[in-house]
This record gives sequence, structure tokens and C-alpha cells, in this order.
Amino acid sequence: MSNSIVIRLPSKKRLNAQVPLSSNSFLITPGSVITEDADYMRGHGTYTNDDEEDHKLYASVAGVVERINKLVCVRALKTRYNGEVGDIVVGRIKEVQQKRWKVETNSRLDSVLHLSSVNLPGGELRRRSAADELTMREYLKEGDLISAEVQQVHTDGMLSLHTRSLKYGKLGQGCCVTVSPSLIKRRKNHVHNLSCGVTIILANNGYIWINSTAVDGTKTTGDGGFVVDTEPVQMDDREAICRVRNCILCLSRSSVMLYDTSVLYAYEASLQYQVKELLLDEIATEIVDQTLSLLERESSGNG
Amino acid sequence: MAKAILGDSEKWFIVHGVQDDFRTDGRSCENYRHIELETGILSNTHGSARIRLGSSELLVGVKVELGTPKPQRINEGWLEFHVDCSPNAHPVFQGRGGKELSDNICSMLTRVYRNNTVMDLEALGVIPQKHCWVVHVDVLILECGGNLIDAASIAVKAALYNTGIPNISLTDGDEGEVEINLPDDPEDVKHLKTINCPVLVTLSKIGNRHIVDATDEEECCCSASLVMGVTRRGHTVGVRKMGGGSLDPESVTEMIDSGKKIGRQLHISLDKLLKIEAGMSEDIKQTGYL
Amino acid sequence: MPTDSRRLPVPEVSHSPELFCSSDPTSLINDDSLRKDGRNPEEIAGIFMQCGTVSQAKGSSFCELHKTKVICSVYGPKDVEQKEDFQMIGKLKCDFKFAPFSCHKRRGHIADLEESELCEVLTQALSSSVCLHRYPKSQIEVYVIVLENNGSALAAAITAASLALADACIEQYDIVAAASVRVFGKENFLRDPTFHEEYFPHQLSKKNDFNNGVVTVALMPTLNQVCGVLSEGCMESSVLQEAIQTCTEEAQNLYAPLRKCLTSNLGDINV
Repeated sequence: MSNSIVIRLPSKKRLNAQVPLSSNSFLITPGSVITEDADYMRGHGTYTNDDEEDHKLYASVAGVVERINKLVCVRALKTRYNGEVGDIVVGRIKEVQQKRWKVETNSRLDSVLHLSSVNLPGGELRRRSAADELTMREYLKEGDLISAEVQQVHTDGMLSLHTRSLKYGKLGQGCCVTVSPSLIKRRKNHVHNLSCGVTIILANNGYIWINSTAVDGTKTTGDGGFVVDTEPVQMDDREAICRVRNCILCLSRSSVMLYDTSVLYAYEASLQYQVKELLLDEIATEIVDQTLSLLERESSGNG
Repeated sequence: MAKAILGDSEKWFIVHGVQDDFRTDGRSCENYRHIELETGILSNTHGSARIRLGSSELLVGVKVELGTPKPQRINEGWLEFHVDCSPNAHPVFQGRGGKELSDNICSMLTRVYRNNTVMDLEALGVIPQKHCWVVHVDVLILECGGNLIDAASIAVKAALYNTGIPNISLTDGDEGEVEINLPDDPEDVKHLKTINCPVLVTLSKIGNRHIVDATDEEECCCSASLVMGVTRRGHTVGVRKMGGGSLDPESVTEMIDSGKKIGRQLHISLDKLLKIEAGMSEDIKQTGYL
Repeated sequence: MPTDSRRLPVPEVSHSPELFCSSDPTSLINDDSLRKDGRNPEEIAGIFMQCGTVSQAKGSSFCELHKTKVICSVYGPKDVEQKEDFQMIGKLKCDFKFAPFSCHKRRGHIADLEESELCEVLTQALSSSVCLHRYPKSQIEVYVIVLENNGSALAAAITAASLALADACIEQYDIVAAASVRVFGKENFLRDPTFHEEYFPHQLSKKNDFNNGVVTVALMPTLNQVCGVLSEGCMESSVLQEAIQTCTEEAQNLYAPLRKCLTSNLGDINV
């Protein structure tokens, strides 16, 4: 009988696995002076003293200083999601309210999804009736995951979402991984059909949805995607989904930016191992190293 | 108790995965996650251990104190367990929020240590009827990533293995009283025999199958689980069904069989690690929380 | 007041003499293979069940298993007291208490760890039988008090609680019947153990504490689903499995009397 349970001493890798910062940005901690020049404008993550004499600009969060012309801001390394109009987000329904759903999207305040901004079954031009209001929980209930687009950012930072496109809506079978929103690289496209038969939504808010591409095709049927599909996922699809999931976790633990190429490289690097072996720290580091070297080779090849 | 919230379709994904013997993180039904364990990390205790199982993290400290023996067992000491859920792990543990979880773990630990085969309690006796050692085992939950009960029991066994009880000497004092002298050297300790200490194995029923070492997402899909204490020899020392669901009589039998198997594997791995760590205690630097 | 030094001082703590004169736990069965109370090892204890004991409760029951006496009452369903989140399923709130005078030693009024553990086992056993999805936003309260503890209190409590729920006309998938067995060596399973036959590790020494323990199983007899298992003591897993099997059979046998108790009670109402 082979003994499969591994118990060992803590590895030190976990603690000092950090990617060196690029040389053109530097880190700053709260309370340290960014500039003494009064000409600069105060941006996010900074503060000034009310004192007339004192023109210094201080940082209020730990992060990277960014300068756009005269505007200075500090971008925090670890932050909740700050929504922008047009972002793709993945969120979890938290509460069903009158004519709207509260959605948890990793931002400061819960986002809202109005009943009028979802596609209900029966075509886009359907009128919302009072009956729809009463059956809201049948469409989306607490715990359900949705993909959506940010429609509007309110002054208090609250987001309004909409799913009025066949791209968005309730998510089916698959799994969700949470990473820091700052690890998601902003790109034109956040939904990728990877060559391994897996679709990933690298949502801007740091929630990553992974499911099989094949299942995605059935979404265009008339039920609006609200019906829970209970058919088992095919075994090879499942393996690919779980592999991508573990790869993304490896990358995010080592703070590697996530976008289609990095995920795909990590996936390829992982193919020599079994999916469950990716949980091991050594193998995770190896995959991250391989991914980074592949990415580097690509960027130097282009430049 | 802090629980992950999942939608129906995510649950189906997990349930079907268990059915196909391929779980979301790639493990099969009877695979354990990797465990990181170290002992002797708290300087103010007589024995301690820290465990990390997946993303669950627990800290166990053992302190021994002199107490009065119980009237029924005049020359024995006893063990006392206490479990605390820190709000560091989850804000819902604030106040009395973690009471249900900590009571469950605590009563399960007490249950499996409550018999004469697991520990030699006579080794804890000092002076019959007067003094004995009381071993306080305190478990602190620092992070919740599922399967806390198993993790707690493994850490408790490791911490007890690490526990050194001061070698006290007795001298006759005035009026027939006995004087207790503590050794001058804090290293002068005797270790407890932990060879028969049990570990707890939780078998969670998902769909038609059962899994070990469920993550918190999997715990969310599981309605009934069987927690059992298993000793090194594969004997059971206390079983309890947890959760609001029910089980088939046949599956209870199956679960006991696989729990026994997994429990023995856990013991083998754990004992191996504890021996390795004890052997090289001079050379290794503790990681702790650095 | 000045103390008289010639008098012997009173001891600070006192213990009941019964603690020390406990019967020899190694001889639960005598040479004629009979138990202390004259039963065969396989012989179950006489059980008495009654519904509607507490007239003001929505449903109630009284259960007597040899000398163990348990009263259970059910209140509700009613509005949830502490509203947390919107709940689609009802909440089952149980309370399990030994009366202060129920055991040899006086019990405190505040629930100790043993009581809160048994309460949790009771709640989990019942919540698999009650159709909680039929009672959204509401809670059902189940109160169990053990008046006299002569062993097998948990089994009696679970059976009584399910009976009281049925008496309160709370929807259940099935009645829950529970039974316990004292494992005494590899071969001997003493059904419905009395207090002296319960498992007390401090009465045993290291040598004879193997394959000794108590197993309690709660079962839904018609669905044949186990909704609660609790065991104590070190035993081989095969012995444990056999003990669970024995309990299951015994609980199965409890179904007929439970049914009879309920139907006769309903008959009373119709008359």
C-alpha cells in the first residue's frame, strides 16, 4: 500500500517567493514624503498637511508611485477592486431585493444589478412584468455566480452592472478562483477560449471563472442561461479545467500578472505533471519559473 | 460557522467531480492535501506545534500545571482541551461566533482521548491524592481552509509529542509533607508517550461517494460526514456523525473502513516526520511566522 | 469566630461515596451470562412512550427506557428570533439538558460540554428527518430534559424528540428511532445499557480497556438511513461496525411501538 499522505516541515519558499520589482518603479510606505514640490497635484493614495508652510506630499498607502504630468498618485499593491465603466466582472449574488440584486464583486461596496439590466428568457425586447419581480429568485438566487459588465460607477463607488449581452449572464458548471485584482492585466479582451478546450474569464475584479468551452456553446438557447445544467462535465474537460485552476493559483501565489499568454504558458509547463502534483510548492515554483522564462523569451524576441 | 457560499452549478461541478474521482484541485477521493508541520515553536509552552493543511492553519500550545487528582483516579493526571477560533481566521468568529465550531472540535478531541489506551495517564501522577500533572492543550485556529478537525488532531498529537514535563524530585519535608523540587535545568524534562495517540479522520459524503480532507468549498456540498478517531494500530476510539444529512448503513461501514486506512497512513507519515524533526532539531531553523 | 484548634477541620471538598463503590466493570455479565438487572445481553429494556405529556406545548412526549425518563416538548414553527439572513429553510433549535437531580452527581444549570455535545448530536439527527424546506423563515424549538438518567439517555432523548415532533404535526420524512449498545469485549453487545453498564474509562485499567465502549445510532427505519452515530471507547473497526449493525437492528425494531404510540394517540383525539 503506497502511502500518499505527505507531512513535512514548512518550506521556506512560500515566505520569500517574491518577484523582483522592475527598476523604473519604486515602493513607498504610508507617511513617507513623495515630493516637496508644491506644483504637483494630489492624487489617490496621497495626502498633504493643511499647514500653509508645508507643501510636502505624503503617501497614505504602501504602493507604487505613479506620475501623470502634474498628477501624483500611489497605486496600492493590494487593493479592493475599483470599478471602471466597461470592465468585465464576475460576481456572486448576495441578496435579492426589490427589482434588483446585490452582487458581491470584491469592490468596496456591493454592486447592484437591476432587473431591467438583465436579459430575461424570451428575447431582448420583452417587457418586465410584475410577475418577473416576484420570480427574481428563480432567475438568480443567493450564491449564484454571474459575469457582467460595469454599466455605471456611482459617486460613492458603487457599481451598477448589466448583463444585456449573450456574452454575460449566469455562469454554469465550472470553478471560480479569487486573486488580487491588481494581478489581472487590463486588456481588450478578458474572455479567452484557450486551446485546451477551456474558457476563462479573467474578470477585472480578480475573480476568475473557468469552464469548458463546449458547454459555453449551449448558452444561446432561449432560456436566457438561467437554467442550471446538471449534466456531468466530460472527464477530459474537467481535467483541463482543474489544471488551469491550479496553474492560475500557482501564478497568483508568486504574483505573476495573469493574462491569456501567461496562463497558457503555465498550462503547457504543467503538462508533464499530474494535476494534483501542482499543489506541491516545488512544482508550483518550477512552473512559475518556466512560465516567466517563456514570457521573457517572447518579449525579447519581439523587441 | 464560516462557510463558503456556492451557487448550484458550482456545487454540481464539485459533486460530479467527486463522482468521477477527480476533485476540483485534481485530487482523488482519498487524497490528502500536503501538510506542513513543525513543533516546538512557542517558547512559553511545554510543547507546541503549528500545522498548515492546504489553507487551514492551526497553532497548538501545551502547558502543564500541577493539580489535584480526580477522586476516582488518585495517581493519574489528565488532559484538558480547549479550542479557540480566532477572529483573525474569519470575522464571524468574533465574540461567540466561533463557539459552535470550537465546541465541536473540542468535544471530539475530548471524546477520542477519553479512554485508557491512548495515553499513559499514570505517568502524569506525582503524589497520589495530592498532586498530579494536568496537561492543558490549547488549539488556536488561525485560518480556515476546510478540514479543521483532522488538522487539529494531527497538531495536538505533534504538540503532545513535543511536550516535556519537568522532571521533579520529591523530598520528605516537615510533618510528613512531601516537598516538590523543580529541576534547575529547564531542559531536564521527560517526554510523554504519544505512540497510541489518535488522529481524527473526517469522511465527507458527497453524492454517492465519500472523500477525505474536504476543502471548505467541498464541505459546503456535503450534508453528512463521519468523524472518527483512529489509533496507529487502526483501532477506532470514538466516532460521530456530523452535519444535518443522513447516511446509508452500508456507506457507514465503507466509511469506517476507509477512515481506518487513511488514519493509519496519517500516523505513519506523522511519526516519520516527528522522528526526523527530533533527530535534526539542532540543525534546522524554525520557520515560524518570520 | 475563633476556631477550635482541637477539632478536626472539615475537608474542603466532598465526594459522593457512590463514586468509590462502583461495581467491578470487568464483570458486567455473571456466570449464567445474565446482566446485573437479570436481562440477557441481547435483551432490550422495556420501553414506555406517550404523546401529549405537556399539554401547553405544540407537541410533546414522554419516554421511559428502564429507569431513564425523558420529557420532550416542541414549540413552533414560529418566526426566527434573531433574524440573520433570509433563509429558505427553517431552523431547528434543540436544547438538551440533564435535570440537576437526574444523575448521581448533581448537575449544574448551565449546559456543560457533554450536554452541548449531545445537544448537537440530537440536532443533527433530527434535522435530517424534519422537512425543513417546508418551514422557510421560521424556527422549530425542541426541548429535551432528562429527568432520571439510568443510561442510554441520548437514545431515549432522540426517540422522544422525534415522537414529540410527530405529535406536533411537524412534517418529517420519517420518524427517528435511536438505540445504544455497550460493547463489552469482542462478542458481547449489551443492548440498552443501564447507568452502571455505560462506559466510564476511569473504572477500567489500561489492560482491560480494549473493545470496550458505547455506541449509539439514530436511524430512520422506513427509509433505512442512519442519521446519527456516536461512539466512545477504543475498539477494532470490525467490532464497531458490528455494534452499529446491532444498534440499527434494534432501532428498526423500535418502529412498531413508535407507530403504535402515535396512532393510538391520534385515535384518542378522534373519539
